[in-house]
Amino acid sequence: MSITTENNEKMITLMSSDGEEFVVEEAVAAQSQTIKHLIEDGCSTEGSIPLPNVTGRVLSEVIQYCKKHSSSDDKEEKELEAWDAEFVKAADDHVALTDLMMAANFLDIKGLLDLVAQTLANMITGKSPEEVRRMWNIKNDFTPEEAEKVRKENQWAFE
Amino acid sequence: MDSLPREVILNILSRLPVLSLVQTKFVCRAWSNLLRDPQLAHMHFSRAANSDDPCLILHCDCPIRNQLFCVDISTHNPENESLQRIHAPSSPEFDIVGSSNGLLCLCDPSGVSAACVCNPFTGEHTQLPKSAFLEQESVEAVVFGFGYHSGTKEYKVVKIISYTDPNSVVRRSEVQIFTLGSLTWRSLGHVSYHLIKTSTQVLLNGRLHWVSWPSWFCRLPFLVSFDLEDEQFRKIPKPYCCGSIACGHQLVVLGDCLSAAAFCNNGKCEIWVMKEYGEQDSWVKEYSIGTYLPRDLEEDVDQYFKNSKFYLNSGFVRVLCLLKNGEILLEYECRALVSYSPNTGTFTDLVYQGIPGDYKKFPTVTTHTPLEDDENSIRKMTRHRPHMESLPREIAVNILSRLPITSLANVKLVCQSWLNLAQDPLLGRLLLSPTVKKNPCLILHSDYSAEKELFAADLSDDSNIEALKKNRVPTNLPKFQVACSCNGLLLCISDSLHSNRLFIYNPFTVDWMELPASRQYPNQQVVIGVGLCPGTNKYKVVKVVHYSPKGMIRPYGTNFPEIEVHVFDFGSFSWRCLGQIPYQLFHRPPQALVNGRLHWVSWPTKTSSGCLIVSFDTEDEQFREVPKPVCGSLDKFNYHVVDLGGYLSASVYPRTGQFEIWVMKEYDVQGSWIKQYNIQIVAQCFRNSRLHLEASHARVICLLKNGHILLDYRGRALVSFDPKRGTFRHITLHGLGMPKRFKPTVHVGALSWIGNTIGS
Repeated sequence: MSITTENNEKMITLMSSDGEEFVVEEAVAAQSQTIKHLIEDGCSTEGSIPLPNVTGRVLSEVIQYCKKHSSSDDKEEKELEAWDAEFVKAADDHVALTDLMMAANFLDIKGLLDLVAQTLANMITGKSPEEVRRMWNIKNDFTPEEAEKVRKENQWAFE
Repeated sequence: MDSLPREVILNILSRLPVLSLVQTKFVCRAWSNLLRDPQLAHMHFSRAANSDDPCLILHCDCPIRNQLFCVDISTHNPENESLQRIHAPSSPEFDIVGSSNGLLCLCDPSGVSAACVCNPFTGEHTQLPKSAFLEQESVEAVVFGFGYHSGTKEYKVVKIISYTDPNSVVRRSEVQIFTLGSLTWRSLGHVSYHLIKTSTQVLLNGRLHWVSWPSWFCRLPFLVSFDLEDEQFRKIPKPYCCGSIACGHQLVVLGDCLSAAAFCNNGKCEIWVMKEYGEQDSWVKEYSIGTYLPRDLEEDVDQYFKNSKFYLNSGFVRVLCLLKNGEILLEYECRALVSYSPNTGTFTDLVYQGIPGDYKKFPTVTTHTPLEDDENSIRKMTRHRPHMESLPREIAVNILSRLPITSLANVKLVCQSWLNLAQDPLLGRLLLSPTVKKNPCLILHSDYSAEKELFAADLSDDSNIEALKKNRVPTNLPKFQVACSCNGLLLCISDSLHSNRLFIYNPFTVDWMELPASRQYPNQQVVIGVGLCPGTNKYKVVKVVHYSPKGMIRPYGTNFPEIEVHVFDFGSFSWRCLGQIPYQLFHRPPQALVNGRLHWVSWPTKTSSGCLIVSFDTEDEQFREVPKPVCGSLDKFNYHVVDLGGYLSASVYPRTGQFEIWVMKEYDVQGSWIKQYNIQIVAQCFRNSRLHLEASHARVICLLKNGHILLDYRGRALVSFDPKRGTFRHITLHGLGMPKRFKPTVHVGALSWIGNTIGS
């Protein structure tokens, strides 16, 4: 459903997979290419836009991101960077980050996708295989022989 | 035993108590495999759940904090039965929320660490994500519940956070739920109940049960259930016990019935049982337990234990469970276990060996159905964990492509699926044409202390050296110079006076190959370059030979050399001669590869007075002149071409200590050359590294991600220049055996090889 506020901002309603509804300005929501296309196709005129892949908790964070990024212009780039850093820090662990990543992918928000992907990459950088396994709760499914084989084949080219 | 049929062995093993069962996996490989059999897990669970007494998990807090022990109470001779230590998670502080279907849920009451679900017998565990609720001062209590629903086959953790709403002063509770295997906590909104924290949870009929605190709308405590399937709270009728409905209750499951132990003022304990679930009228007073003082309680309580959370929070007596022999298991002050026989009205102290130290009995007890199935459940759970593999392949590869190449090699060793991801051709492509700006990798070649030393340096975001690693250069690779780099591969030349041999080398995979020999000339000087032909996606090596039959070649000399071009094509794997060109190329610095063309600066030719920029197109194999920037009387000045962020750029040196960097914004358009930077370089003196750098030695290498320009001081130092502030910073190479002199090459770290790209 589209409502118009006093300053003539068109509002649209997004519905998360668990039925939570979020009313946001169209300009904010349209940072998502997926939503933008849905709006262009006229999906927003009746009822709310359902987002079956995004839970309410994740969606609220995504909206927070979009709001921040639609309200600031280029001049505040430094501040925005700092805000982004805080934003991913608040998502605190890689589990929440992968959620966010999936949502950003589905909603097609490039900035958010880049931000989260880079954060995850930074978390893996410089870690030993054991540390990575601990961090991602991955079971080492190599037999010792396989592990040795992989290690040999991929023998690190550097001392 | 090996000769017995598999089913028979499983049948036997399924009768073992869980602790013995876990031990058997150390017997031999075959048994260890048997233990992984899901059939065994199933058999053991159904047998254990139906016939055996549960085992108890004891959570001990002193002398060592947070140790878990297990005792099997099904053995009939408790005097000989000793406690066994079992895996406790490494979390510094936890409470046991509850046990369901073989798994334990642990939480940190302070909310600092994440809650976790584990199988204490196998040691497998999984951490839950933190939930979104902010730790506010107004939070009064957090009550957890954990249970498995056999209908939905899901494990769920529910968290009820009670807080006082600062605006309305009304006490509210927010409910959050987490399904194992999902990614996040979900909020179920608010309820008006304020629940009493229990030391063990009460799970029956797929529902968790609590006693509520009295509230403004109901002056008396009442019972509340939470259905794990439909996630609804419901009120449960409460027994009229002790003649008063206001007395304290402890809920417990006895013989598959919800029961309430009521502690009356006279010290007695009445146990009411709801024979028919949900029926108010079916509450019956089943047991009445008199007062008893276990032997262990006659000893004084140790001061340390007195302050422990268990003692402080415990009542005098707690009902744990009904044993198979009809006796009721009781716990006194977290210090003693007693079994009570309702038939005879007698008490028996249960004493177990092996509780550590002088502090004897202070377990918090959780009944725990022994279950080898746990292992499978955990495995099932972890499959749903947010692995890389649960992310779509493009996303996972996108993340990996952002890693510095040095971390990528480690990724392959993590697990099978990551190994597959790291070998994904898409990753290879993304590494070579990254979607995000990434600092290049620097290859430093040093011949100073030893021959053939290569180092790879990853630059961090703030342009410090993040990782500097020495390359294992293959010993059979002859002594070489790194000529240039293209698309993850280095072109190296072994320099001998009269002939040269060319090599392709990937320092990250340590693959190398020698190119077939090409024609050699007397007094030759060669300039070599390598590029990737965009149309065919094939590498091409170009060799520009300057030679003169009359003697040594000197620029500006009267002895203008013959200049012949040879191209090596990986498709046909042979050299071709393209004939002569009129350009005499500077052989340093290396090529600038922009737009599929290799660029060099040439000496003034017979027809032009100044230096020219000459390009070689890898596609049509033509040499062309590229328009030069109009920077004063450029012809007089030295300059060289370099690739700055994908633009062909010229760094011009009008006089010592001054750089002008011109950038051609639109390729091959004369008018698009602009003077982007003007750098005043004074002699740099870095006190901490005792380095003195002559201004005239500086050369532009590349542009960094943060907009800084990387300068090389004749192989002695790397300096990053911040064009905005006009500041210089010396990038130090830490570590032993790091090169004092080196030749840096801008490189893109990749795991590709010629074959991958040309598909031969």
